Amino acid sequence: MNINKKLKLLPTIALSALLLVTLQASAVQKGHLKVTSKVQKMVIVNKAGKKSYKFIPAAKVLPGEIVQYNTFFENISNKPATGINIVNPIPKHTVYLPNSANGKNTQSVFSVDGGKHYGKAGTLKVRGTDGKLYPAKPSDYTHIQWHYKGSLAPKAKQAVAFRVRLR
Amino acid sequence: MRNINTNLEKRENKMKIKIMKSVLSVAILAAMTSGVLAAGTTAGTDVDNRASIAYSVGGINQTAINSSEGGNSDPTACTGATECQTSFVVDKKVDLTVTATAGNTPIVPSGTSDHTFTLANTGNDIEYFSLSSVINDATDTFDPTNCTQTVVASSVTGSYLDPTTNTTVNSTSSPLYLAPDDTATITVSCTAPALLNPTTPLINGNTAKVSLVATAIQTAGGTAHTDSPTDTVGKDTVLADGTGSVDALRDAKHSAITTYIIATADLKVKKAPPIVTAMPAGAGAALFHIPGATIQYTIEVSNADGAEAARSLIISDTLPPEYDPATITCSVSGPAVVNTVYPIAVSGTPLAPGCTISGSTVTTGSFTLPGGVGSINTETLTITAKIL
Repeated sequence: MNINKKLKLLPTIALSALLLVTLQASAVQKGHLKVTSKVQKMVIVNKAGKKSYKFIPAAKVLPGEIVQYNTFFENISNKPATGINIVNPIPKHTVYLPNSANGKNTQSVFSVDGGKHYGKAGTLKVRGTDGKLYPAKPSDYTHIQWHYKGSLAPKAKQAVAFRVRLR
Repeated sequence: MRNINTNLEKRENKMKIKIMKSVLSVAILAAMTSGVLAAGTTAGTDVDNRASIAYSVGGINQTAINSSEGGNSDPTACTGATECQTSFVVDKKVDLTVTATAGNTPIVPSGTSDHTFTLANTGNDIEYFSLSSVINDATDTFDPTNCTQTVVASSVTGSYLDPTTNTTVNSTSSPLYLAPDDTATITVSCTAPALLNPTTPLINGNTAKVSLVATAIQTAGGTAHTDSPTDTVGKDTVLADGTGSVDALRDAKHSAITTYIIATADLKVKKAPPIVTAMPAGAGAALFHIPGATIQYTIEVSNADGAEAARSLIISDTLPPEYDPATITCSVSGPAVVNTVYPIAVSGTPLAPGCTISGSTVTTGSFTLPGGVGSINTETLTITAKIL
């Protein structure tokens, strides 16, 4: 091949190479899901002797108050996502509020050993200082895991939530 | 005759006494051993949260994505320990509890008595506290003339850095500075007036009610904490104190009340008129006040049932000149003891006070007459003499 032809090929190859690099970069930077975490504080509203609850942004939280975490997950790709598992460590300084883990179409399990093993609430055990096994209390939980059943279609958005009490 | 056989079964009553620790102390012990303050997470602490989602697409496992407050879809982002945390700040909760130790404190007119109180910092931040006494109460008999409050001990170990002045304070600093869950022991010392009013004495059972008030203050020597006016993302102040004896809900104060009760000796003195107990020889059986006749009279000092002991009592009486000083006799009887042996030791004989005669004056030794227990205690000086 004479040098002129080589020179003509060069820009095309360079351009293709550039496009390829860009495509690979996009594939690495964007996942299929967008995950948003929100924290709110639960306040008790007393209206004419009737108690109800409402949620406000958690700016000012005192020990003993209840906080709710919502994790939203949205499928921002054009392919369905399956086998979705959400893991949330119980935040430091808080205690999981029993029966508060929820989410449409999900099943939740808990860990008491730092996320190594998970089990249903009521089946978990911890070892006491006397060496004996005792049923785990919500204050022993270290992690929550939700398993989203089925698939999440493109553009679909779901959420899971749980509540804790600030120590 | 019929023999009645009675078979009495020997039954042993076994009593099981369970010793239960107070629930409060056990709860705090558990909290402490797990590294958690009973008063709650320290004010200013950041509480962080982040969730992680694993998923598959087309059957192929994808890299897990971490959550963020604004929404994250980048599997490479939000992976560092401090990245993308959804957080809030623990606010400052001002809470304190003042408790009075149980029981009324006995006090004597013009005397000073102490009562012990405890102050606990039940909030979640280190605080300065100021102390005062409130002596006005509509339901008591009298008011002390003066009360002082002194911190005699605290559970504070070591020292703290006062963040507002950047100086080190410790348990002996003034004013009082307590960390969450620390307590201080405070003595309130009150003085009773001499009389209820210029014409009325104080009597046993009269009461004075006194409250100790503790206030959580913003700085050393400063004013009470107030609620932060608006929500901010930083550390704000929230008052959470309850209502004490003389303070209101959520006013950065707490108080407790105690009763000082007059418990003094309640003495009465009775001098009986002399009676003839013997006639001189040859005068016949009938008893008359004639020269040579022996008379006897008593002086009784009594201390009421339940009253405090009266100390350093001396009964003294001078007989009129119609009685022969050389014939005077005296004796003392009753439960009183010489001052140095009161309270009475369990073993050993109590030393009864004696009496001395000088000219026509009879004087007992100085003695202590305890209050009666179920009845009045009476000490009797009996004097006899012959009529000149």
